[in-house]
Amino acid sequence: MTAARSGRTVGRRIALGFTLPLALGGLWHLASRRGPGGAYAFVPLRDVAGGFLEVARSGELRYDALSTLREAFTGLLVGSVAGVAFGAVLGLSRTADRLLGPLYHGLRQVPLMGLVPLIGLWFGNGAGAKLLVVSLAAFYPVALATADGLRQVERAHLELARALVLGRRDTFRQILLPSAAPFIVTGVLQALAFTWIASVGSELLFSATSGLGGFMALAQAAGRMDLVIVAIASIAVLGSLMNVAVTRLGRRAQRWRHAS
Amino acid sequence: MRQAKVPSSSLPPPAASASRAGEQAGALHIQGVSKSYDLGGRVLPVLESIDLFIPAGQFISIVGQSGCGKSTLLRLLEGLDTGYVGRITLDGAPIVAPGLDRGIVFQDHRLLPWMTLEKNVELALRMRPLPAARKADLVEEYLALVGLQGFEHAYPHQLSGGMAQRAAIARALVNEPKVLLLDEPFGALDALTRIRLQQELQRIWMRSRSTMIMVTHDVAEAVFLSDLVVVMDGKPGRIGRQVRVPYPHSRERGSALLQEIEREILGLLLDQPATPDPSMPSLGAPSVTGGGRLAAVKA
Repeated sequence: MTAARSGRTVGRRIALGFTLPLALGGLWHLASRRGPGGAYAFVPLRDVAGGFLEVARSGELRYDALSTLREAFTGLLVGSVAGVAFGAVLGLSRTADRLLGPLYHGLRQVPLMGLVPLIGLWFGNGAGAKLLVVSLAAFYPVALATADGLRQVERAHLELARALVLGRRDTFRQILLPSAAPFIVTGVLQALAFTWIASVGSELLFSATSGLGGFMALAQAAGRMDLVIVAIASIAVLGSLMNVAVTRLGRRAQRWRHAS
Repeated sequence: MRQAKVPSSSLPPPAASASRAGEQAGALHIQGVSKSYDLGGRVLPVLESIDLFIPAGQFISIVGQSGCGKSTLLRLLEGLDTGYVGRITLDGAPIVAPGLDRGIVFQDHRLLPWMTLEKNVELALRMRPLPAARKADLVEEYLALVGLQGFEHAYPHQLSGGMAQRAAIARALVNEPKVLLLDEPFGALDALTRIRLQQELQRIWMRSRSTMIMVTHDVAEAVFLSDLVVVMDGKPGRIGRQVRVPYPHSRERGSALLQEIEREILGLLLDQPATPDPSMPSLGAPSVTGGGRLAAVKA
């Protein structure tokens, strides 16, 4: 268990993790010093730091970060609920699978961003359209995980349900759903990463003015490359932190499975 | 201590018949049952003209070589498989599907890993219209019967194989079925646990006196527990001999009388004459598994 790891090992891991970013930062710094073109292509780190402090103090960065986070989580919620419902239909009914499966899998191949023009045409480019894109990002992986989870229920357990003469609802609630739960949870946790990316992406593609994507677009329009770097770094850092949290949660969910 | 045992004298008597899923009987009538599987055009016969009458309240074992169809027969009795020729009735009513008047214990315990022992056993009562308090009492009673009181809140993965199988037996009995079906229930357990559980099962049967039908490979186990041992032979499976074990319960493992019958049955299974060969050396002290002994002497 990770709790037993010594402080030295954890410290060592974090140090190793930072080695490359720090090295890249060093290279960036050197590149920004090479002639007038260098500072143009590679915004000096000092300016980036200055820009960061500027938007951090004004609260703008925090406001935008929270805005994107809120979009991501809302989309995750909506997409997961729809995904579980749809995945349940696919996983439980052969007919439904044959009927809906091909269309679902076909649509899944299209990158979400490719659907944006169509969504923009039908739903405009307001909050609703963005929510739709982000929800779809969560919908696909969760529906897949749910369908797979339901299909892999052990025959032995299904036979037990028959031997105990459990009705359809009881079989679903007592055996199918708990059996599929670890898969569904893993799917939702994975979908979080997708919704984060989809949030920023949809902000950019729908020309939003809020959220980290919107912030980045505004900064670029204003020629503030230092703030663009700040935006990119913020997106990356927040995304990574969520990833770490998700992996930890995922491991706990898996622990249940391995125990069985 | 994991393997806590409870002396039978300290257990409460079985619940009143009012909670039984069926009536007191439990006699099974198998008439002319044949079954075959269709493997893509080729027909594989598994059972052929099985005729068997099992009186109520008896402990019956079915032994036979691998592939003789004994597990298939058990599944037909449970109602898990259909599509056979012939007739199977329980107290006159034909068996077409699983029912709460029959309980089954599989070789793998099949306890649901996300539920505690208590919830697992309670699941068997799900389709019974009883008040929650009554269900809780039944669960407690049957967990105590199999010697697992105190482990209600344990999860299956925390238990040993023997304990998990005992919980499975409790689950199969909690509906107080007319018939308990056991499909090689102790096959996956180590030899010592197997012996212990055989004694537990004898004790449980003596208290509940439901009809019990057990499929097993272990002849000693069959002879120790049963009133009647049905020897199946051949592929497809046919009823060979039915050997009575007319000794009262509870029995002593390895007694000479039981060994005698073991020898007879093994002889049938190994295609040997039923009478012992006087020129063979004496078998001496009783052994735990008579089969191993005889096979060693023969070889």
